[in-house]
Amino acid sequence: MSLLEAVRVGRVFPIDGPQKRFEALKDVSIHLEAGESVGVLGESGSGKSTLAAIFGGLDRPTSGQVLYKGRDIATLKGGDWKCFRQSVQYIFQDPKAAMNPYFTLRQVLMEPLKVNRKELSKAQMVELVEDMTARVGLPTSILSRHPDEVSGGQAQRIITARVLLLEPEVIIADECVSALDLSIQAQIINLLRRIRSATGASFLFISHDADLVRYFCDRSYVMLHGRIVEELGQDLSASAKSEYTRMLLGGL
Amino acid sequence: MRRRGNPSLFIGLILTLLVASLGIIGVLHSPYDPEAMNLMQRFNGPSLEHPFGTDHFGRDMLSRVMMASGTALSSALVSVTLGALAGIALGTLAALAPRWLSTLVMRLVDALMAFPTILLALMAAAIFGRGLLPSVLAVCISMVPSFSRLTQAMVMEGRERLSIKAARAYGAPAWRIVIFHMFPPVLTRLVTQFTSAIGGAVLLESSLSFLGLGVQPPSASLGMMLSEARAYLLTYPWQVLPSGITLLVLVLGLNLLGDGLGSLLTRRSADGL
Repeated sequence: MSLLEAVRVGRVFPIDGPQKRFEALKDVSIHLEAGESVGVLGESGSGKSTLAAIFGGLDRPTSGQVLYKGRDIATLKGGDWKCFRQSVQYIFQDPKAAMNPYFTLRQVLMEPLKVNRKELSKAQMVELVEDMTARVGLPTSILSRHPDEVSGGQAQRIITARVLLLEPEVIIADECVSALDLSIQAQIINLLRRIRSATGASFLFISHDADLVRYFCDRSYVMLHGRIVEELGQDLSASAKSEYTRMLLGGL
Repeated sequence: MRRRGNPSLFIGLILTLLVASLGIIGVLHSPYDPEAMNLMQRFNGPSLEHPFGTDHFGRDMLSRVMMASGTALSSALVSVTLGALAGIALGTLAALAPRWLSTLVMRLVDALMAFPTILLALMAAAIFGRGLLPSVLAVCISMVPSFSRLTQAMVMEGRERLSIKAARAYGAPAWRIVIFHMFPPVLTRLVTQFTSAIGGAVLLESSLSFLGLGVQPPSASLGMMLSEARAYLLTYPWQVLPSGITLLVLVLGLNLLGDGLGSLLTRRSADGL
């Protein structure tokens, strides 16, 4: 039984225009085991982000199911849903937009604790937040700033800290470094690798960058027009069979 | 980055408070009865007894300006508040309702927007008679479209925002998302819009009373005082100044205040809210 699994998932969006509907995902099946890092590789518009949203329960599939430890997440209720919600967390592409601009970074980090760890006292929460800030490599003095007063790399570290505070089993990183400079990209990726070995969390790593996927993932899927076209091992190009995958690996 | 200083907020606040305090003092105590005529004192320029001079009926113009400022501000506040509430309700409805209903609501709002306010005021006057009430009603209705469009756009955009998706992802309950994540940027915009709309409403109410559709004599309103003074523009030009300058200061002050509040409150919104 996989930790998290998508079974023949489809997602259709109603749109304006002659077709009336747009199939963002067609019959997609992927699985993620505990402690594993899986890449999803594809061009923009291939359905990667839709898959990410559905895989973590932010969006509902129009067909098929998502199974968390063997149970369909559409049937989870109350405590079970909260538990699932807490154990699958997201790191988004644009870290600043993923924070409330009216919050200080301290408030940004406190909110998930206030929502999910009500048993903690305020002082314990502050301590957790400050520890975690240090762990992602930021000084605690930064916490009194607002999201528009820090750099993109610092913001992505804060988002990473926010995710880690909930001790998730699965982290879905949707193009989490694409908006950053190359040198900062490397810093964040290495931070994620350190976290992975420290916490044993599983990663669904979504990217259009084959090099990043090769560096970060144990295996990966290639998506095209809402379908999985190929599954690759750690060494992407060696196992690539289809024409499209070779073109993608060569071209990017 | 923190911006240092905010001159439009500062100047706007001072100008607005200046006229507002005139109005408030006028309600509590005015130097003369604003409606008392004294035909011996017609067309007197400014003096110690009458700092703003007297008009064609010998009425003290300071007292009249005080009364008129109070009326202008309070009627603008009432009409904009009611218009904004209706607009916010319609906008929220249009953003959340099924497609056919939201299209219906927004096309109605468009139709309202295309309707000239003066015509609206004429219709209101035809139904309710002339006076303050129909002009407040007309101004109130004319405020609905801008507020409903703003609210609709902000609610629709807010639902798609990444920070809200993120808050859902870490399990924030709906009430928390609405109060802490959706409301603040909307409130910011609405406060700004509200302040500028009051300026617009003051001007609109003055134009209506200038045309004789608003406050009726012998009460005082800024627009009506201007219209009365117009008859004596060549022989006693002083008469247009008290009401004209008050109106100018008030509308300028409110617009500057709106701008200043806007830049004060939106500086946090790096993601282009």
